[in-house]
Parts: sequence; structure tokens; C-alpha cells
Amino acid sequence: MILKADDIHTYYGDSYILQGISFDIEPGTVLGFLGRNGVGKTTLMRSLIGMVPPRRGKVTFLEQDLTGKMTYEVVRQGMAMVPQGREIFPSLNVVENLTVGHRPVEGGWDLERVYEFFPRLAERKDHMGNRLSGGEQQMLAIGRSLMTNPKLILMDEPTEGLSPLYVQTVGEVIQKLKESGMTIILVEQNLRFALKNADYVHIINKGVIVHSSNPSELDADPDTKQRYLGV
Amino acid sequence: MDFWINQSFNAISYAGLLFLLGGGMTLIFGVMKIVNIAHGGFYLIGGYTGYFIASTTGNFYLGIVGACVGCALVGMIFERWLLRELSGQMLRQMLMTMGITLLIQDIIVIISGGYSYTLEPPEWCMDVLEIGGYYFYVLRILMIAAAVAVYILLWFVMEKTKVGAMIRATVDNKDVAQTVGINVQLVSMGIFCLGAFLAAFAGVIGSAFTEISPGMDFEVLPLAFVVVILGGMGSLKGAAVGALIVGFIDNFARAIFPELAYFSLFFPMVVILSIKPTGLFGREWL
Repeated sequence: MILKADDIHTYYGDSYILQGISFDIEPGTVLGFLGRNGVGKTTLMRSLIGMVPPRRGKVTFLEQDLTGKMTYEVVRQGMAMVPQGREIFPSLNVVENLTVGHRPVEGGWDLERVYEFFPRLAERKDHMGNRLSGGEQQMLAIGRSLMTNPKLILMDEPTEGLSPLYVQTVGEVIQKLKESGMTIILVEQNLRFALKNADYVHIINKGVIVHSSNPSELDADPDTKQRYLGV
Repeated sequence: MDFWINQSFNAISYAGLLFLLGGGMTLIFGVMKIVNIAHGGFYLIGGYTGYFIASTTGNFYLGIVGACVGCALVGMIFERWLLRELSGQMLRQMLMTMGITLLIQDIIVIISGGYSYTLEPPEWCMDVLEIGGYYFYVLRILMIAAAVAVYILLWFVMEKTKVGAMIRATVDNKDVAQTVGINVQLVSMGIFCLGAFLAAFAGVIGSAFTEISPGMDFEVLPLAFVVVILGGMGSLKGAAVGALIVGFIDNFARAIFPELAYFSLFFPMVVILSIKPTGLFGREWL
């Protein structure tokens, strides 16, 4: 097991957002988190990576307790994030966006390998981050996370606002990364996409996990889909 | 003609001093979003420390280095123990830097007895250089050279190095910067130290150029504010252009209609802000 969350409770000021969440994930798999807006999916990602540390409970990553660790320390340990809305650094060009967090590892990700993976980024390498299309920005956000040479990537709604073509590309990227042994936590609003790409899914509602199953079981359960996802 | 050339030269050299002061202030704002009232205090620390080191050791250069490094260390202590806990709370940080300024001022009055000093630069700095029939004071030429060198160095580091990219990423988005492994607290501390270093440098040069006295902090602070706000908060280029504008306005206004000095300083700021609220090269922050 690469990561284990054990009964984590997270607050934003006085708002009680995550109300006891536990799960774990095996290396080389894609774990999906589904749920409506505002149920705590993004907060969960931010809790795992240490941006909004849980007030109770504990996260174990690669057999290390992350309690009290700063985000940059967690990242250096091998967790990366593709944030919601992509959040490309606008004052940095494409190359700088990629290299700013580069942690070289023997045989790991570097500029050349990222360009091979996303040829479009190589073509636009001198453009500023905010001069790219949404799809290109998403490729850049994924490339930027890969440059830290992570063992686990948290992807927060990577298909949000993308054209169908780019949604498909993101799906292919996830599959290719998985084949290379990467572990991915995928937060999604797009049910089809999550069912297609995840190996296992959890549904969050009001800060707790209310459903866990294989994608096919969830797909065959109209009641659950209707109640928690509104589809 | 003589009047214009001499005054322009004075204006540019004064702009050099203002840039050293405003450059650090604008970087601190960009990275930490702190409006650093203590910047005038750093100027004061620089001026007095420089004077005391140079007059006891008899070495002007040691005075400069000692003042800048010492002030950077003081800045580090303030950042670590007084400002870090208030990260993200703009008003509280601003009040804290206000408190730091008063603290610095009082400590300096206690140590120095409240006297004003003028730092003696080495003989060669007091020379005049003749260029095309005009005489230029070497110390003023040095002020310009120092500011240009600092600008080029900062520009190079910010735009062409990985450290610079890390700083710009932190300015763009602190949270996301952390998720690519950047230690933003370390970046903030480094920038605060750099700002203190540059303000102290300005203080030493200023004390050689005119004098250093308690209360100078609140004399230079409004100038630094105008420089930074005119140019756009967070922009190094803005600070350079702002320093030139303020340098020229202040010099010519004092020479032509001295009774309106403060008005002529703040009026262009009001005009520019009403046309472009972010300043000349600034961006939206909130």
C-alpha cells in the first residue's frame, strides 16, 4: 500500500469539512473520488498533500507519517498534485513551468521525456503559461507534476472545462502513466470519465465516504448514482 | 543649459538611491504581500551601522558590507519570529512592521544618543570628474552605477535562473508553488533579507551623501512608497521607472518651486493611480 488515510478530519476555520475519511491505495492503480460540488473532494486532496492539514487522523505515505509535514516536504517525498483549474504560473514560460519543480532522478522524468509525452508542449515551449489553451494548460499541469518525479499524483478534476478531444487525451495520459507504474488519485465530476479510468471508486458526501466499489458495480447501481451524483 | 544638465544628473543619481530603497520594498510586496513599513527602519539601521563600523575601523568598505549583512540578519530575525506567523494577514503584518519601525528607531536613539552623522567616504569618492565641460561628483556617479548594477543583477537572477523562476512562481501562486516542491517560507525569508540588505545599502550611501539622523526613516518611507506605487507594486522594472520619475520630479520641484515639494511629489502619483490603479507596471493582486 502506497498511501493510507486513517480517519482524517479537516476544518477550514470553523467549517467542519472532512468528517472522518479512511481509505488506502495500492501502487500502480487509479483511485477515483466522486461527489457533488462542495462535498470535500478538493479539501481531501489538499489535506493529503499537507496544504490544509487534518486536525485529527493521520496520513501515511510510503510508510511515513505525514503529520506535521510541510507541503513541499511531502512533495519531495514523492507526492504531486495537478490542481483544480490547472493553476499554471502565468509569469513563467512553458519551460520554466516545467523545470521550476524539477527533481532529477536517475531514469526519471525530465524535459525531454515530458516533451515526448506531450509533443504540443515542445512546440510551445517559449510561450508564457497564460498564453496556452485550456487543453495545453492541462498537459502542462500534468507535465509540471511529473517533473517532480512523483510516486503518486493527485489529479483534481483534470477534465474540467476541456473539449471532448482533450478529455480523451487526458484519459490516454492517465492510462499510459498507470501502465508505467504510476499511482493516481483522480477527483472527478465527470462520471463517465471516472468510471472509464479508475480501478476503484469512492463517493464522498458531506465529508464522509458513502459508497465504495468497482466502477462497474457503481455503474450498475442507479440508486446510488441518483442519490449522490444526481445522474 | 547648465542648470538642466546639473539638475538632471542630480535627479538620476538620486533615483539610484530611491531604486535601492524601492526595489527591495517592491520585491517584498510581490512575494510576501507585505506592505513593509519597516523599510525606512532598515535604511536607518544601514546608515548608523555603516557609520559606526566605518568610523571605528576607518574602513569605508567594511562599513558598507557590515551594514548590509547586519541588516539582512536583522531582517531574517524579524521575518522568522515576528512576521511568519502572520502570513496571509495583510493588516496585521503591516501593523507589525509599523511596530518594528518604532522599535528600531528607539533602539537607534538609545545607542547613538540621537545625533546625526555624516559618513566620510574615501577621498576618491569626493573628487569631481570633468566630462565635456561639466563637473560630476564621483559619489553621485557611484550611486548611479550601484543602482544600475543591482538592477541588472536582480533582473538576471529573476528572469534567467531557476531561483528566479521559483520566486516568480511563489509570487504567482504560493499554494501551487508548494505543490511543485518549493519551500515558500525559505523564499519569503530570502526576499525579506534581500530587501533589508538593499535598504541598508541605500542607508549607507545616503549617510555619505547627506547625513543619517533619527527620523530619516519616516523621511525616506513616503518616497519609497511613491516609487513603488507609481511603478506598480511587485514590479522591479516599475521600481526603476518609478525611482527615475520621483528622482526627476523631486529634484526639479525643489529647485524651481521648493514650497510645493510634497505636492509635486504626490500629485503625479494621484494622477497615475486614477488612470491606472495598478501603477505603471503593476498587476491585479486580489
